[in-house]
Amino acid sequence: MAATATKPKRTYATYWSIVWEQFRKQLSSYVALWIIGLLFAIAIYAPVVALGLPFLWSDETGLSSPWLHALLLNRNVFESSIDLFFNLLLVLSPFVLGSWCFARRRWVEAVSVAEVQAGARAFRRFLGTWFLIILALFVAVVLSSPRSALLDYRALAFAGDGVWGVFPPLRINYGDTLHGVEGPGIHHLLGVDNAGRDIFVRLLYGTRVSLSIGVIAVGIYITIGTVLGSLAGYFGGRVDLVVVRIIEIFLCFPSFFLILTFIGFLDRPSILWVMVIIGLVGWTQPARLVRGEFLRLRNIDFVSAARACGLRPTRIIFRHILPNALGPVLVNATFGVASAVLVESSLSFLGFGDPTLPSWGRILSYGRDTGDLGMMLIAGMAIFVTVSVFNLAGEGIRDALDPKLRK
Amino acid sequence: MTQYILKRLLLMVPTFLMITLLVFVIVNLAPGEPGQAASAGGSESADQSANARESHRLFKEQYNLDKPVLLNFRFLLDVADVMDELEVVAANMTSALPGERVALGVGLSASRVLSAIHNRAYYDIERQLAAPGVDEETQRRLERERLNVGFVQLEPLRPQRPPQGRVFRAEENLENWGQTIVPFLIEIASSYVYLIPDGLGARREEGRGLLLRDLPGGSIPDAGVVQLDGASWRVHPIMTEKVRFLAVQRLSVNARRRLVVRDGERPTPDQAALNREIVQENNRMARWVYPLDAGPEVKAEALAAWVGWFQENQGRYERSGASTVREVFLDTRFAKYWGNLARLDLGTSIRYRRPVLDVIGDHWRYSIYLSLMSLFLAYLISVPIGILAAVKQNTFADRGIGIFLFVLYSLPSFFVATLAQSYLTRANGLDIFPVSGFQSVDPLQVTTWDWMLNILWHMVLPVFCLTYTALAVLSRYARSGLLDVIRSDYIRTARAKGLSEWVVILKHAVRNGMIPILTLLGTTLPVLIGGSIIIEFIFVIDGMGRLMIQSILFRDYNVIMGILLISSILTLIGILLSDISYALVDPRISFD
Repeated sequence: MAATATKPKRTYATYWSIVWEQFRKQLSSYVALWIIGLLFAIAIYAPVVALGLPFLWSDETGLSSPWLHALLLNRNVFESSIDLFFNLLLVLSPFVLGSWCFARRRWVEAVSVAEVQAGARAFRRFLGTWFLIILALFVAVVLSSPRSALLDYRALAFAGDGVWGVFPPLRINYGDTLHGVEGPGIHHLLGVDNAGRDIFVRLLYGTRVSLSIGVIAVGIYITIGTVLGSLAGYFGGRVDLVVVRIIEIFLCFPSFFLILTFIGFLDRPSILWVMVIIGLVGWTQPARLVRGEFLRLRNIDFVSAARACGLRPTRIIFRHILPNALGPVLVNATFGVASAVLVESSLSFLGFGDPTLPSWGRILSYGRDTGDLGMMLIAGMAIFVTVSVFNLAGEGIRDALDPKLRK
Repeated sequence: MTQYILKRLLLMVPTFLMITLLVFVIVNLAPGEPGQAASAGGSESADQSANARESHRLFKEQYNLDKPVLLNFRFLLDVADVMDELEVVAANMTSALPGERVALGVGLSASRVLSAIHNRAYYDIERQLAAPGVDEETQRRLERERLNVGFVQLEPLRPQRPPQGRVFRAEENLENWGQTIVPFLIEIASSYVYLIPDGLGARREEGRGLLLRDLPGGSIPDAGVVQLDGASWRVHPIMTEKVRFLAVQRLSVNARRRLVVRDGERPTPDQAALNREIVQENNRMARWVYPLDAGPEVKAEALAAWVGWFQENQGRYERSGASTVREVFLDTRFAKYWGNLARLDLGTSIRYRRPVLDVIGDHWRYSIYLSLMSLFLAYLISVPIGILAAVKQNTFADRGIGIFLFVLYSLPSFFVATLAQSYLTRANGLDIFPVSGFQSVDPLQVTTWDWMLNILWHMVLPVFCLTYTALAVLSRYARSGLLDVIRSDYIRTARAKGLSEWVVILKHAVRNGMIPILTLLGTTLPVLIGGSIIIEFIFVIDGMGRLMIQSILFRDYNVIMGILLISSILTLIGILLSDISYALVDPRISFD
């Protein structure tokens, strides 16, 4: 492999690599992107910081990991589906990160077909190894399951008595209620609320609620909007007329009224419903954007060429036009995440939605009810930071996509 | 231009129809019953008192909740459907007939044998009673004996009851079907029998309900055993009595007619006479019922009254093809909703017990004060800021303004409002502004000036919170609008003419640059009326937003429909207005 030393540097640039270069030049947006990454990291790794179960636990039955067990199998600690989702990400994250680094090293630097193929082979081997590791991990989790899911490990560890455990720094579940109100201190970094729950831990887990609402709700409406918008824009005529009428009808409703009406009518609104409803109400904007892009693109030469080749409409739409129309959608999605976070926190601030979830809006409204300024400030700032980093990133992407603003 | 406006107005019609349809669908097909909180209904209605039941029925009738949602296929109902529902209710009845015994605490097979032996004695007495030529004394003796012997209802260990949800649905169905099933009820009340297989210890669940006319020969033979479908059957006296009893009870509710004139209107003499007649008839019907343990004479008397009444008024229940079609399409919630809309009647609020339009009329003033003030302030501040940022583009001032606006844009208004309420009012911090409300003085007891000051003082915080969000958006529009024109040729010409910079900017550039932000005014129309849900919630201002929240919590669905409809129509008009104003202000744009 002597050739690696003189490997030619790649000289071409794809569209998205140009956009990425442009994006990196805007300092504020770049920082915002890192903060978004940090927020996701907090959401995923919250149980590493705060959970009432030990990573490792040793007693007369042997060594076990109640923490790992709780992540996926203990519905007493994590009862909502969001938590399970993020826990799964937590367990899979070494795998995902490792594969990403691996793929990046292999493929980004590959220049010849043979190298790509070799990389793919290695990648498959790599996947296999990881698959085995994860399988072993799961088996270990199941086999080493602790004696009881409901055991109070904290009390046992406190009592000592021949057992020991390695706990996360904060030995608190977000649903734990304590007796009596405590101020901020070493045990409860930001104190506890009037229901006796640790505010800091709830704030930490609230990241999960906000981010998942933002991402999933926006994912839903971007999907609906993109499909409807591309159909309308590509086929035109009657399809277009119908879709545009529907969009017009949806535009006439004040969206927050509509969301509130839907949520208010549900008997027990879970977080999934909130996502679905925001998704169902918000699709008009991306649909209009995609439709506009399709109208612009559908008579351009490369599309005519694809049509002349006899490709099916689905292939032309999804493989040829859509990738070129995704820029505005990406911008819209990033701003959409910010507004979805805002909508969710407004809803929970007003008292709609699942009351057991540690949502920031609910923490804010608790603070308001009890007159606890610190609690209000901290929850409000969390919302503010999340909303503004997504807005900043959205602005960055918008400017990076705009060829007139290229630096 | 006129043509364009006309075309747009015409296009608004189908859009509006679709909007009304969508609003209807949202409110009616949403899970959970509309007006649940208001009526005494709910799952526990099985053991409700008769009074609560009746008020629940009236409530449903008033809000058309007893009608099917989209299409009314009740003409397809037949007597078997009604019998099914009645049997479900009867099987769930806890009150027992005299002589009815329930064999509890015995095993299944034991209870079968025991009760078969027991009931043979019962059927023997029945046969003796039915035999021709029984004198009066024997009859009385036999009846007493029958009462002593009793009929054992075969209930092993745990009585078999239909599931509560099914019972509830059956009761609701019978109630909702209303007048449609009156002829069937008459038939059931007079000729229903419940048959169980004639054999050792047949159970209730194995039986079936029939009308006498379906039996071979049209009646029960003297021996009491009926041959049907190649099997022999016996009458189950308890179920038969209970179903007949329920049918009569149902009749006295379902056969009632509604008064011809709604409350609050003055009836004409003819109508008044008709109303009186209906009330009399309804009162009479209320008397044609009997208790479950009534004697045969009482039952026969009530039944005769019903049959007589039905023969007199049979015409009411006859259907022609046209009336069936009309019923299918028009006797539905959907049709009633459209009919009311066409008369500009949005219905009555369940919570306030007043017409929805009146309720909205009470609340929209507060929203409009708030919105007008904040909108005015937002325009007043944002235009100069936008101009400043555009003129000083890419300078320190522009960046500063940009960051400031960005922060404003990202700050959640409920956060700011909560903070302001906590720090600047009596609640926790400085006692500068009132905590909440629209006014705290009685306008009749202070001077107008004091009253206005009081309102203004209350409005400071809410208006501030509403203004800064609008400000962030508007200033960005203003800046980009001005930036678009500031590089155009005519501006350079103006500068070349030697005009001062102020004149160039304010007289030449701003006039064109502010077109986009002015046309935005049209789209603020719905916000003006709709108000802001969160701000009104936090500062307890009784505007439209707060009305909306409370109606949702209360499931006051007429108000929700009203608000959704009004705000969507206003949005439609607002979009049209902003398009038209665009064309009016900017001569380059024409829609022809």
